[in-house]
Amino acid sequence: MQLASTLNPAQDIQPLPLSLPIPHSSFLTDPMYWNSFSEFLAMGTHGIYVWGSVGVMVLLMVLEPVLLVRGQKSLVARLKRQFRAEKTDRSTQSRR
Amino acid sequence: MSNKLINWFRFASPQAFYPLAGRMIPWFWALAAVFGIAGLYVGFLVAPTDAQQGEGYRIIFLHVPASWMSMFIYLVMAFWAGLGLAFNFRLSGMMATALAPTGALFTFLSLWTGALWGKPMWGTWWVWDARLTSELILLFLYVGFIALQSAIDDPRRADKAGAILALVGVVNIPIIYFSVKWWNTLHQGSSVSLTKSPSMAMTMLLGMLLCALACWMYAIAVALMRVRTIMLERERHTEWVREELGMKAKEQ
Repeated sequence: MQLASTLNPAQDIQPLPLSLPIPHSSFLTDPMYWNSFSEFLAMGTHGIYVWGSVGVMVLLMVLEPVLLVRGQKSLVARLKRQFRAEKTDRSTQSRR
Repeated sequence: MSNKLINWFRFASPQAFYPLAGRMIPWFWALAAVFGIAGLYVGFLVAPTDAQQGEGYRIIFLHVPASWMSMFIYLVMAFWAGLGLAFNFRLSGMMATALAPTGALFTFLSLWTGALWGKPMWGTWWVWDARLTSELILLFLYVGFIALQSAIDDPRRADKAGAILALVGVVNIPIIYFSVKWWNTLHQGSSVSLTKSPSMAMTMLLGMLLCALACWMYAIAVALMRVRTIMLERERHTEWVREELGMKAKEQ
């Protein structure tokens, strides 16, 4: 923030920059940062912290959908059994 | 105009939403995989090291997206809960219930990755500072919401009770978000701001945004999966569930 007395109107009233202040990145062509796989695993001295984070996050984000698929399947099976049982109940009643 | 409104509200009925959600889930999984692989590639293989924090800073690519999701999912959950409370839509209560476990998961991951980041950088797994404590309260809010809903047998009453808890808890979200500004915390300030140009290297920012997008897509896919299970369970006495499972009720 500048004080009013130091403002220079000519400098201050500028058109907005047309290009957004997002510098380009060529991550697809950028070289890999690591020189060797062991260096990548070591993560400097922070391997255990980095891989401890990655491991738990990946584990839970795999576990959640697996549990959901299993839950959905068992519910569908349970409902189908229930509907089938109701149907046979009704048909035996009508025969009597 | 009115036709369009009717078309939109058609999907507010579980019967119409169930198959629609089923068709959308694979697309969100595909997007989550694409963004996730790209984000982890940029973050873990291409991005340069951090001058101050060394390689340990790479936890940012998991920690920040998880933390964003933990807060954002809560807001969406409270929005659906409030909508259900106000208008009594069947779908909105189910959506809120479906979002809570995923929100709790991301809150736990935010705390977990934060602890593993804090240890090498601050020398401690945990401090009772404003940011960490308010995020822990968020976890308790999610757990409280889930526990309260599962303690009430009637789903409509469970929705109402949960909605009130969720809406009261919304006050915690700005506290988490602005805690690093309002108090002196050990936690560093925000990494990304809408008003300032990015203070981090472009590759780092890109990796983080890709990981955040992956978490978004994951959260949508998982929430849709869970809401479908909840729909079948809650609407099991209706005709459409029988038809959906290929069982015609009135054959005999």
